[in-house]
Parts: sequence; C-alpha cells; structure tokens
Amino acid sequence: MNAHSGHFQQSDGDSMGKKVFLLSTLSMVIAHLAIAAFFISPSSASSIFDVTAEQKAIRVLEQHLPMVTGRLVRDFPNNIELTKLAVEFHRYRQNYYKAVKVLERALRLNPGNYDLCKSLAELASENGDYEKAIKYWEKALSIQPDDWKLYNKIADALISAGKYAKAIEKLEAKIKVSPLSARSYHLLGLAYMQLGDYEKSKEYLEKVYKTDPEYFKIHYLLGKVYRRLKQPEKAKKHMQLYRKNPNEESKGKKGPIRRGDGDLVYDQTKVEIDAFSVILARLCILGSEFYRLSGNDDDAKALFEKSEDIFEQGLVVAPGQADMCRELAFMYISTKNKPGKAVEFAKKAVERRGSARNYFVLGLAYNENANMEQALSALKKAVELEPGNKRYKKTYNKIKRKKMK
Amino acid sequence: MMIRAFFNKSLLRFGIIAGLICISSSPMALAKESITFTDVTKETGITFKHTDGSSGEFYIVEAVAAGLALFDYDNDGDIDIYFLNGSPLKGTKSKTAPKNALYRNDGNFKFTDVTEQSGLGDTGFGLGVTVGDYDNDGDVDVYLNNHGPNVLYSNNGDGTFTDVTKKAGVGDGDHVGAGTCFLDIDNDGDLDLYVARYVVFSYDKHKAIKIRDYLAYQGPNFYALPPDGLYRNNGDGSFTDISESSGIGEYNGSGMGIICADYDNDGDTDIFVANDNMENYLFQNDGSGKFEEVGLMAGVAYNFNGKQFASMGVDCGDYDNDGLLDFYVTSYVKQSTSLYKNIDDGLFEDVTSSAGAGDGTFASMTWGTGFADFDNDGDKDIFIATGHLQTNVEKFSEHMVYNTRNEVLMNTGDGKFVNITEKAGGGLKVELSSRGAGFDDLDNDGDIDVVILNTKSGPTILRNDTNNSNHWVQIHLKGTKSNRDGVGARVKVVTKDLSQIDEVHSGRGYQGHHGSRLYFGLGEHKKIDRIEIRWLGGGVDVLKDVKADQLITITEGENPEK
Repeated sequence: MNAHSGHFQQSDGDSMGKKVFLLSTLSMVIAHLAIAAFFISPSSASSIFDVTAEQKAIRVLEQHLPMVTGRLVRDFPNNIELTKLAVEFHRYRQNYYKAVKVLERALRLNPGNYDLCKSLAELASENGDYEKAIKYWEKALSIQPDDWKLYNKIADALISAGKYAKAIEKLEAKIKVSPLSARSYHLLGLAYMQLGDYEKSKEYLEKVYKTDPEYFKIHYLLGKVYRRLKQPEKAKKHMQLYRKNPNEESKGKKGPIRRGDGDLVYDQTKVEIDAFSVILARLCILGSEFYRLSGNDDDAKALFEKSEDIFEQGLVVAPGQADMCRELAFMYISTKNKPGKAVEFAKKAVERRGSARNYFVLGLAYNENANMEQALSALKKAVELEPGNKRYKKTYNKIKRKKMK
Repeated sequence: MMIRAFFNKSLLRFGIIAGLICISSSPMALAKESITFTDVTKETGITFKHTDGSSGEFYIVEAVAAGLALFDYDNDGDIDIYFLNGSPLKGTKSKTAPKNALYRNDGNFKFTDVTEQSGLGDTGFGLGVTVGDYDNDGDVDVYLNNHGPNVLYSNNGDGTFTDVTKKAGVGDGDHVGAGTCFLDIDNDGDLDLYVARYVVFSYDKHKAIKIRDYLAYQGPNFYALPPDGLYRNNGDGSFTDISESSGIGEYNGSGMGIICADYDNDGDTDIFVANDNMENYLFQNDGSGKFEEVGLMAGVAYNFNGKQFASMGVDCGDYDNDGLLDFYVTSYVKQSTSLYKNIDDGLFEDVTSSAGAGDGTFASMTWGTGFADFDNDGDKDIFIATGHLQTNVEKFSEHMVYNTRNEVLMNTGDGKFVNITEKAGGGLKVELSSRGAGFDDLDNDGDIDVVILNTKSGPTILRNDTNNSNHWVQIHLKGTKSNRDGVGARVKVVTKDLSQIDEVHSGRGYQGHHGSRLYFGLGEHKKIDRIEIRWLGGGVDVLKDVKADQLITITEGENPEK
C-alpha cells in the first residue's frame, strides 16, 4: 500500500462522521449536478431530452470507472490483473492510446512481466503499430524464451511491416529451438512469396497443407504461388478448395451472398453496459481482496461502497438494466457483503432478462443465503438454457451434492 | 592562414553534419521540394454544400455519398467542376430540393455556378458520376449513377445538357448506385457503360445499428447484394443491357469505386470493382466484351494474406514506371489502404507495407484517391481523401472523429512512398469528412490541383503550390476511329532516362471522374524524346522531340507510326 491509501476511506468518529456525512452528501449532490450538467452541457452532442436511460447508465460507468481503475492501479502497481481490467475498459472505449499508457506504466513498474509485454504487443498489432508490437513481443520472448508461439507472432508482425527477410530470419531462428508448426510454415511461405521467391514459398506452403489439411486459408496462398509458377491447373485446384472453405463467405457468385434477415436495428449498447458492469464488479472484488490482504480493511470497505454507489447511480438512471443488476449481485456474493441484497438484485436481473447467466448468478445468490432449494432451481434453469456451459453444470452438481449430504 | 584553416575546418564540419543529416533522414529529406497545397476554397466563389438527405434514420446510402467530376464541359480549355448532391430521404423535410451543381472555371481559381443554365442540376440522390463522349459528337456527356433512377445527360455543345436517359435506355431501374465508367468493351469505337451497384435497399429493408443507444449506419453485410450492370452502346444513341451475356451479371457484390483499365496490356479494357467488405472483383476482358472474374487468381481480391477489406475507392497508375498499371485501393478504418503492384502476366503483388503506401492510413477511413505526380518529378504520388462514416462517431468513440485530415503520400522514386501530410501545406490541415476527390490542373499552370467533395459540407479546393522548376507535359487525346475522348488509349512518354505510361479513364477514384487529360511530370527534362499513343483498336501515333511545359492535343491518325 502506498501513501494514497484512505482515498475510498470514511472516518468513523462521531462528529467527524457527521462532517464526513455532510461532506459526502454535498459531494454526492455536486457529483449528480456534474452528471446532469454533463448531460445538458452545450459541448455534449445531445440535449438532456434525447439522452436515453442506457446512454445515461454508460456515462455513469464511464465517469466513475477511470477513477476506480486509476486508484487501484496506483495502489497495486504490481498487480497485473487490475492493470488488465483497466486496459479492458479503455479497449472497450476504443481508446488505444490510454490502454497503451496504462500498460506501459505497469511495465515500467514491472519490467520483467511477460503478460504485460504480450498485452502491449497484441494491442499494438491490433492497431497497426507493428514496430511497437515487434518490440514488445521481442521483450516477451526475452523473458520467456521457450514460448515458441512468440516467434510466429514476431514474424507475422514483421511481415505486416513489410520486413520479409527479417521475418524469415526469425522463423529460421525458431527452427533451431523448436519444430515448426503449420502457422510457421504459413508465415515462411508468405514471406518468401512477398520476396518473389516462389519456389521456396511453395515448398513451405505445401508443408502447411501436409501438416494440417484443415488449414483452409493456405489454399489461397497455394493458389497464388502456383499461378505465379505458371501451373494454372494446380492454382485453380487450390483456389477451388479455398472457395469451399466454410468460413469463406465473401464470394458473391450466383445469388445474393448475405440476405440481411437480421434485426432491423442491431443493438450493441447492452454489450458495452455489460462489459463496463463486469469490469466494475471485478475491480471491486479483486481490489477489496487486495486491500484486505494488505491489512487495509477500511479501503476495502470504501472501495466496496464506492462501487455499490456507482451501480446504484446507474440503476437510478437505467432501472431496467439487467446486466448492472446481475453484476451488482455478483459483487455482493463475491465480496460476501449483503447476501440478502445479492438475491434482490439477481432476481431483478432475471426479471429483466431471463438469461442463463442471470439465472446462474441468482443460483449463487441463493446459495450464499443457504437457500439450496432455490439455488438448485435457478441453476437448473441456467443449465437448461445453456446446456454446454460446464461451469453452470459443475456448480449445479456441487450444490446438489452438498444438499444431499 | 589560421583563419583560412579554421574556415576550411568549419566548412568540413558543416559538410559532415549536413551529410549525416542526409544519411540519417528518411527519403523525404532527400526530395528537393515538398508537395504543397493551399486551401483556396473561399476565393473560388463556390458555394455548393453537400447534403446527404439524412432524416436521423441512418439509411445506408447517406453514409457513402458522393463522388464528383472534373471535366471541360464547354470545351473552353479549362477544367470545370461538377458536384453530386443527395436528395431528401424518407422522413427528411427540405424547403428546396437539393441538386447537383456545375461550376464553370473562369480561370485563376474563380468559378461561376452554371447549374441552372446547363441543365445539370439533377435532383436525384447522387452517388456516382462519369463523363465521356458516348455519342462521339465532340463534347462530353455525363452519366449519373444515383440511388434511384440513373440519368444520362447529353451535351448539346452549347453549354447545355439534355436528359436522354429514356432514349438511351440506361435508367438502370431503382438501384443504389456507386461508381460508374464509360469504356469501350469491344473496341468498336463507341463508349459502353459499366454501372456498379452497392446494396439492395428499400425503406422496409433498412437496417441500422445501435451503439451506446445511438443509431448508426449498418454495413453492407446486412443487405442482399446486387450484380452490377453493363450496357453496350448500339451506336445510335441507345444502349443494350448485356449484364448477363457479358458475364458481369453472374457476380453479386457491394460495388463502390471502380476503374476500367488494360491491366494485362492485351489491348482491351478490363474492369476493377472495389467491393465493400468482401473480395474485390477484376473482370478480364476477352476482347469481345465478354468478361471473366479473375480477382482472386490475379491477387487483387484480398490483401497479401488473404484478408478481405471494406474497399471504397480505386485508382490505377504506373507508380514505379515499369510499364504496367498498378492499382491503389482505399478502405475502412483499421484497415490499411492497399497498393497492388502489377508484376506482369496478369498478376499483382500487394506491396503496401514494403512500399510504405499505407503509411498513416490505418487509423482513418479512406475514400477518394488518385495517383498524380503532384511535384512533376516523373513519378506518381498518391492523394487520399478521408473521413469517418458514422456522423455521430464522437458520441460512442473516445478517439475517433467524423472530420479528419486528408493524406498525401509522396513517391520517393524508388518504388516507395512517404507520408508527407504534415509538411504538405495548409490545404492538408483542413478537417472534414471527405468522400470523392478529383485531380486536374485547374489553373493551367502545369501542376495538378485537387477538388474534394466533403459530405454534409462545402467542398475543399486545393491549389498546388509546390515550388520547383520541374517540367511537365499534358496530353489531351482526340479519337477519330476509336472513341472521341480516347478512353482506353495508352500513352507512353519517353525522355532520356525516364519512361512513363498512362491511360485515359472515364470514371475512377471514389465514384467520380477526373483526368480526361493525361499529366506527365518530366523532372529536369525540357524536351520529350518520344510520345507514343496506342489507341483502342490498334492504331499508333508517335510524336518526337516535343517541347515540355505545354498541353498538347493529339488527334488519332495525324502522326502515324513510321
């Protein structure tokens, strides 16, 4: 813990308590006014009248989450899980730069951390910053030299950056330490093709096909290389095989390729509320635990109360929000706080959306309240709705066995 | 003596430092002068403002509008500007119907709105446009590929146009239009017509997406996709729909920008269709107007690794002066643009990364584009118009914005490009949501200027103020046996150590038209050794020892090859 601890904390002295209560009431009023002002400020693109409940909920979460993540990352700089949650938040907001900033800061504090290097490289690669991706994958490889897959990742980024000879060098270095995979052969074939060495390219691409006949994508490159080697029949054969790829759905020949029978409006909003709610609940669960383990119960409590308050604010503006209800319930369960409220909010989640995930959390909430009968009923429903989910099944069986005992 | 020695040492030091700077800098630092553009929009007198007809329902057609055309409508020797406009969609109220606008070039970057007198103020929902002399009467005609019925305007030769769609039979039903090109598919001396179509749209099949509870545009994947159309010119002012018999109609797609070019140097014109969120099509002409789709085999359907992109605009040009036409394709945000280098034998290699041709384009949504030698140094540079598709992107993304800066990539002469946007003058500081872009010499001063259509906004006119003493030549073709505009003709310009080719296109970039004249930068060469024109149909004209720095009109058959 560092000197910043106590930020979430509230005093328990009597008069002090009153002052804190007044101050906190005042600050809450100010916070709510700030939110209202945010909604109606001229810089905001919409007026208060056309901001929907869901938009308000997202804004509540967006407004408070940076503070929570920032504080936790600062208090537990060596904790990678918390850093990753902070990064996930920025990724959902499509803010590559902030996500990179969080990761680079964490890496400065944990210079030998393999996970952080990998996360940075992946993020950079997704955003077309291949030089940065190569730098961090190289660093990850220096930390864990036996992670052979990193050679492929580096070679892939080198090819995307147009550095074909270096990609070949990297993969040839891999041959010395580990047998090549279909993916490595693919990359070698691709790099040689870009260099115009079609014989070598063919040699490696054929190896992909032999190593993994289900590697459909390779037919495209094989078709290309045979066409360049002036073997049109072989080229045609591979292109035809590529066309048969079940994942290859872009060809438009003979009839419309995508009918567009989906919903009139595809709603992505709930995906985001769901994601932010999950991040907030996980931050609270993990953060509280870390505060407690470091002997700072007050900060754990303050974090819990802050998180609870954010959920409640969100549910005030968007009372119909199932995901927020579920995650709030899950937070109660996991932090072992207010088990009664866990059932209340899990029930609300199920009422709003009867999904397997919501029933599962309701089952956990009943279990937390020692109501095994109801817990099993809710978990059974979750299993029925999502029979393939092993976690639901395992939890159901576990409680069933517990009840039988 | 000491002073002299010190002076010499200083010079030596300076030389070493200067040398080091040169060695350590990017190729850009080796270039003589950077390309410079000045925004002169306000001085031009152009008041056009584009409308996308939006009603708040987020109909897909709004997001992709529109292209523009640069052409000399009145044959007075300067390039005029034609902007496409949207029209009110269902639920949109409009006091006056928005219409397309034609601006006459009065010289010196002054333009006059001649929409009314010209009769080109079409009120349909404009998406794509092309220009060509379909009736070979010596003036250029205009075809509009609208959302809704298309229109063919015949030029009356007196600065006015007449709607001849019905007679010509090219109304093309009620499709959502996209790029369109005039081309001579069968080398019979008249221009046929290719009409790209985007999606099958109707108000009852409209799809949208909700992001953060804000409505936003949905992509083409959520719509059925139509085949494109091909019309053969009957030579009597009418056309026949040959989509099916030509082979084009077999392929459904989400066509956006298109360009027609003889990529395989076999003397006939082929067709490249940039498709949105699916593979691109390359229709190879067998010489008789029958086409085979060869995009996958040729290597232009996907990127180098078989990944499909949401292609938007496309241009072609010989960027590396190897005598083969290459393609450049723009695309969606988080997808680089693509440079497909023609490696002969009907094949292309995606060299975007190794050539640096995608630098600075990954974070932007890219639309209009063109190969153009902006600094007249003998190699083609690239201009890219950018702008986000979602009008309200700032509401749901923290770092993406609707209005963005356009990009310029300078050709360094060694087959590579450097993004010089930051140093390309005030014209590149303009931030709007651009779509179509056209490139022509608007003030006849020998360098190529830029016109950009910005959606839901006024256009941007960029004057090329690149300061160098490079020489140039501009070539305007007049066909006699082949089509009057020389569309499809191949021109080769040879100076001492520099050999360049280009081809006349009708319709290119993002759903627009420009470059009826061909532009060649000559660097330091004041004289051209040889100009060779290979007309569609096989005729060859050759001019020798031609003075630089002029616009030459070359008429088919007047300088036959000896």
